Amino acid sequence: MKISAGTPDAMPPGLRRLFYGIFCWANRHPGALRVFGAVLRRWPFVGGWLGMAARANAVKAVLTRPNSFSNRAHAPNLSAGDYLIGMDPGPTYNTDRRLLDDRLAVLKATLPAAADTAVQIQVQALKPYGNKPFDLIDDYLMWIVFHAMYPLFGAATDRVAAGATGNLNDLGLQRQYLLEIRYVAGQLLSGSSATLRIQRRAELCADALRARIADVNGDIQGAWGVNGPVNVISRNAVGLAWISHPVTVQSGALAVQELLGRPKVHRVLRAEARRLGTDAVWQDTAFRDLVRNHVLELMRFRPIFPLLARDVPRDTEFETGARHNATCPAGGKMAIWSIAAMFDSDVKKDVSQFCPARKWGNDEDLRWLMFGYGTRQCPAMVYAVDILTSALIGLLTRPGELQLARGEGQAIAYDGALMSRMRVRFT
Amino acid sequence: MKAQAPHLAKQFGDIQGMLRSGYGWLKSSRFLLLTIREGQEEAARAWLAKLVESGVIASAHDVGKSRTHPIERAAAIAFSFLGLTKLGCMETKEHPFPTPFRSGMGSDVRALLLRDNPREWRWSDVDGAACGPVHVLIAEWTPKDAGPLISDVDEAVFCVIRVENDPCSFQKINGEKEEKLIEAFGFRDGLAQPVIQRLRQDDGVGLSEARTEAGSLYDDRVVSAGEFILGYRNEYDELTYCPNVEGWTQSGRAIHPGGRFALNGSYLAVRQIEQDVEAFDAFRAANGQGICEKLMGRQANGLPLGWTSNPKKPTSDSKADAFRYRVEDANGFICPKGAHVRRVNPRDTLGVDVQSSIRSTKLHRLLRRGRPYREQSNGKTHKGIFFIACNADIERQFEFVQQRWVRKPGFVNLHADDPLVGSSDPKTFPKALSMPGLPSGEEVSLASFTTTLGGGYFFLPGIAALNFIVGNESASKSPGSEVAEAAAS
Amino acid sequence: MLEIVRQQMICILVPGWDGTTDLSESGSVCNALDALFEEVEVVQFASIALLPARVDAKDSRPSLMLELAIEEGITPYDMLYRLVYHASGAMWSLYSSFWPGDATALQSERNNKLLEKLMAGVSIADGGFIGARDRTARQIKKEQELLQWTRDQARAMKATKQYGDDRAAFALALAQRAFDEPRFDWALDPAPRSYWRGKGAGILAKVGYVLAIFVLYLAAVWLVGAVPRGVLGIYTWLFGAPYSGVQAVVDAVCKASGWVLGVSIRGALALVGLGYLAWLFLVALPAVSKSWRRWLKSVGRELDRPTETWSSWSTYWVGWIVGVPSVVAVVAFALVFIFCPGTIVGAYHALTAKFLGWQIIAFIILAIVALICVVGVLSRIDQQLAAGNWFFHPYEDDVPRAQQVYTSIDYCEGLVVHETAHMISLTDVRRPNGWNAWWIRTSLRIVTLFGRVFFTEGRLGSAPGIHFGHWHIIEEGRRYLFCSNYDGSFGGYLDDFINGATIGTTLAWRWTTLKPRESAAIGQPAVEAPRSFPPTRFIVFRGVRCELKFKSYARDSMLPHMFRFDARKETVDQINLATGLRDALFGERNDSNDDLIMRAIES
Repeated sequence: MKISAGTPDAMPPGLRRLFYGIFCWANRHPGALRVFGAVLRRWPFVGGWLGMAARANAVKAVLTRPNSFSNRAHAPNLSAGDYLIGMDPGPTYNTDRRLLDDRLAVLKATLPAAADTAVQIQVQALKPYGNKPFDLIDDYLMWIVFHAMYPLFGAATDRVAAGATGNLNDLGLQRQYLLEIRYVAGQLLSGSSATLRIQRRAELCADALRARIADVNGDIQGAWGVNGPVNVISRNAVGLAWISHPVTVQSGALAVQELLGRPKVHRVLRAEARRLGTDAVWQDTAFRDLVRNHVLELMRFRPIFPLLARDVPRDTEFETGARHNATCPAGGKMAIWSIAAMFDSDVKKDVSQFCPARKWGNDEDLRWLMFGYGTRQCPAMVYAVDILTSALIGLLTRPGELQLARGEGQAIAYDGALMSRMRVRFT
Repeated sequence: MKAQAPHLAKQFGDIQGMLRSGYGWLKSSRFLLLTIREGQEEAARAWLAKLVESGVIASAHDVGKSRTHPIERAAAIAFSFLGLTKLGCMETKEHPFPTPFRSGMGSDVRALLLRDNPREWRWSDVDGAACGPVHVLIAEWTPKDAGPLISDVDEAVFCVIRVENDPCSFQKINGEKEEKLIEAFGFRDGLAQPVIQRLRQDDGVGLSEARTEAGSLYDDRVVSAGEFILGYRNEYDELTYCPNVEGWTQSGRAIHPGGRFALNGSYLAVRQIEQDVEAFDAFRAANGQGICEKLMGRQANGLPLGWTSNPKKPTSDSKADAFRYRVEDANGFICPKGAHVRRVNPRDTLGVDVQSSIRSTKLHRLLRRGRPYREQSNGKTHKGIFFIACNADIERQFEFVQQRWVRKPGFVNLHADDPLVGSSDPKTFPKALSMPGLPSGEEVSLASFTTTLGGGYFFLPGIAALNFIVGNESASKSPGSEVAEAAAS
Repeated sequence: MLEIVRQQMICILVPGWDGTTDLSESGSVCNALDALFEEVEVVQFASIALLPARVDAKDSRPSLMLELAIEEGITPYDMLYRLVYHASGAMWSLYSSFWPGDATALQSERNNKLLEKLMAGVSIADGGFIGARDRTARQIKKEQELLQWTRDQARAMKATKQYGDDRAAFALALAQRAFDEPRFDWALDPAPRSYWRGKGAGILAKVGYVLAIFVLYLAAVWLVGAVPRGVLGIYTWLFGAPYSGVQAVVDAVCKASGWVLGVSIRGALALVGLGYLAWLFLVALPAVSKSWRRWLKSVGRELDRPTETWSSWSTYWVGWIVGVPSVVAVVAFALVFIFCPGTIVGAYHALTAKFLGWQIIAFIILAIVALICVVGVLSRIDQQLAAGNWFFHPYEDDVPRAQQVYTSIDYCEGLVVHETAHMISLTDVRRPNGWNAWWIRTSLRIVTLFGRVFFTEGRLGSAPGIHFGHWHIIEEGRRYLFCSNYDGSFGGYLDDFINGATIGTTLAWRWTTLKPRESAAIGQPAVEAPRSFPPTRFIVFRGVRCELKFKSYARDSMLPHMFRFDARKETVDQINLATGLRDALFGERNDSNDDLIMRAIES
């Protein structure tokens, strides 16, 4: 059912809350999704009935057929207006993609050095906490990602964050901006399954974001050095703002959550970092690669988008891996179980094991499946992993061991499907 | 228990006659708008006292005395709020006059509330006009061709505006014996009056006859006395609020023990509306009589548009008024929803069902006592109607009808003003009326047919209160009915 | 389910207003607020008023009230967050006088402070009704454009006279033009409707929803008992009997679950039975029996009668002597049935043991005959009394200072005569506050539920033209605030309430009174003499039926607005018309759609 922001709830009271509850629970418990995904992989015809692709081959095949399985399934979830992620290839897509690639090129030059600097500053800022709890998202990741992605808006970044009239040094305004984009991004995740309140909040934030970008359009144009039509600039600026930062921060938080659930892995990494010393950790490329592999593996176990949806514009079929192909009637939707594909043991025997050092060989792309695949793969995935690698190294450099801060209520707080707080401390 | 409320039947002697009858047999009428000049209050009071004593002010008792020999002349006196103040009547703190009456129809806030913009009035009941506010309204009714009843107004005491009779206002239609009231555009007027419960009105046909002819729809027009006369039960089954003035209770003049000053009185909403007969005739020539009747919402002879019997056959007024819209004509195929008559009295058009609709319409009925007038100026004849509506709650009756029905563009989801008395400003809304009954709901463009020249709210006191206002000592001890009897003899 | 309605209408009360901010109509603050609400787009109506302090309040300064009517699904926090953190700083300019000399602080600090203060003063409606629901201001605006466009097109087309006599052809031509117009692309989607207003939720779906919830509840209760028993059974089967303590706990849980199950089912049955009785006496019998109908109507009329008469007085007391004991007896029987059904069974056995079947039946017949005789005698007495006028003649009832409107309120109404009218009424909750506030809340929830579920087509009861109407219990249950914007005049609005939503209105107001208070500012009304809500009978009768008293009460309690923002000025009827037109123009071509189109273009 398509429900765009601003429309009343057409479901009986309570039912939507129930669905949304199930959705959020599933998102927070990727293990459960993996189990269900395993069932779908084992008996692919079940997935065929339900319009779900679960095997790695099936998922990849679906994602490389944009004409049959349209990206526009995401369009209703884009509360701030159309953007690349909800478009099918076409002239608009191509223009926007070029614009984005230009921005990412700037990022390429600055990373990972810029991320390292940002992490070091933020680690310093954590010192006063000692072994007291802090919020991994609000006090750490949010700022690191913000500073590491500074080149995306270049000189206009501060203006975007502070708004047209705000004081550039007002940290509170920056924090408010980062919250604003977080809710817009949250809508991408939950879409029409969310309760009306969540949808309306995303809509309000999206309105605010659009107004904010419209106010500083001139600055952005200057920073980007492009002379496109105003609506193109604002569409891309809005889209870039809400997708880049919040998704990276969430992924980082999920990765750390997964890491904290694997104390052995954590201990090994810390020992390695301690062996290298506080300065060498930043220089040692082998260590960086090690951490990077860990980040990827952690993200595989806790992907931010475990499931994806696709619109089916015309009657078609897809190969589930069963004897018969699954038919997809036009006008329907289908679900892609990326989380099941990433654990497809047909590809690698030990794929269900946590093994950062695994050689993926020809199946390297499967390792990155949480970023999408084919025409719908995140163009900035490498940079996101770079930034998160730096962020994780930063956490490893501290003498104490990072742990969830229990004792004062829940350490992890959720806002729907999103993680809104993760209280941790060094012990 | 507390004191009993007055019985209407016992108070006829104290109620002014115009509340009981429109004086259909007195075919000539004049209206005097008097402004008391500065410092002339005493002289004014004396003159008014003399007028009251002369016995021309008819009471409801006089009107109902004889059906075969009705009274041959009648007058009524009403005062604006400023007029009452000028004559020394100060409202009490506990029972002041209602706000609309106190602020006056001419006030700016009423102009807004009555949607009267633009307003270029010659006279009103508040300060601003050349002559000052109108303090006293005197209406008189005389037989056809009789001279004026009141001619001795002292110009040194009063500034006077006279509204003269239109001698053509009564005509015979369809070869009927009796002459009927015809307004300047050529339509029968004065039908569809509410019938006041327990106050037998004596216009032509008898009560039982009228009841038989109207059949089950007779009850639609029966309205509680309290909707028009202060102090009685209204459609809410409540006693209508009676204001009081200082000194009244102590004076002991009240006919009903404990009755307040305004008991047996009524409020008059008065408007002088000029009709542009030439414009209407031109419209008639261009569109035909049928369209004009759709505009008005009635046939020229007073029959409803949906009349199915032989139109040539004489029909009683009671029968002609016994109809509803909802079932037969919900979409206005016969009588357009925006037609003038349907706007001022939508009968059962509004509301969720017929019964509740009729009930709620009864909360907004007006007793119309206006008459056509004629005026000669610069060699031209101007015609119009001197509109008088008696009501007991100005806000709920006159102002509501004006604001929510007549002048509301969105009335029953239309988007235009009243076709006849709507705004003269074409910019606000299209001056147009669609006729859903015609092919593809044709629409006619309208001209501005009427202009309001002035207006005011007046209080029509009971006879005893009238004597109190004018300081008539001699009448203070005798009940009002005796005065009236003296007047009638 | 009700909260979604309640939080659409919020009042933010900030006490201690010192009046230094310029709130004049064209002042910068009001202009900034106007621009803010315009830009935020989800605020449909907003107003500002000053609430005078209670006489017994410590702080004699008035409170600043900001009323907001917003769109469905937005929580007050999200709404205020959006408003306060808006780049224009309009909200700060309104409230800055609460922090004198703080203009230099960082914007984010100011905003945080302000948001905290406003959230402390937020009051979501305790009850409310929304007439033009399911529509956003943006949608209303677009649909009005469509309506206007259609009317203009129709006028132009009629001028060409090329469509002959055929209404269907004309409507088709209009629809084609609308299809061709690219700016009405949005209208291709049918107008959204919420569950309660949608076609899916007919009366069956509504009843089914309640039934489904009830059955789920029963299933859950049953499971609470059944699961432990089952587990225990399996355990015993596999491993032998557990400790006796475990057995006892499981037994207790099973017993409790069984008891709750029984009470729930019997409670539901009792409700159905009571509903059936009510239907029988209030709907079915009046439909078949004219005399019953008349009698019922006359009882209602006499109980509602605003003036004192012997007829009304005697009906009231007969109600106490006969009606109340009967109702109490029925309710008591229902309660006994619910909680101790054994008593009834025992009584039945005792009765059948003592009397024979025919005796019992004869007794019942005799009782019915006796009842008919009593009703007949009463009705005869009634007719006899009716013949004498004295029985129905009213007694004087003084209503002082009636039909008075304070000047500033009169002007507020005059200025918006072409738009949506607006009223703010502030009254005091009668003592004991807590008890009465509880009753108000309960009554308001009932009104809200009915408004949400049953009166979904823009009318509350049969009262039309309400855009938003909301009630708030404020100041710890001491005072009662009612805000509403509606089509038409104040008097007409209250008339609609009196005639169209009598019970709801009486229920919502009967617990209040009006105590004297000072005026909040120069030119604003004060309450010099106390006034009370018209007396009610049996909770729901009379009350608002006393028009004069009720209107005077409402008038005296009113406060003028100092600022008013209305996103859309159309009437509820017009909004509905435009939505209907959208669906008709872009929907299937059939007679009813054609007729709707033709009616929409009438002038």
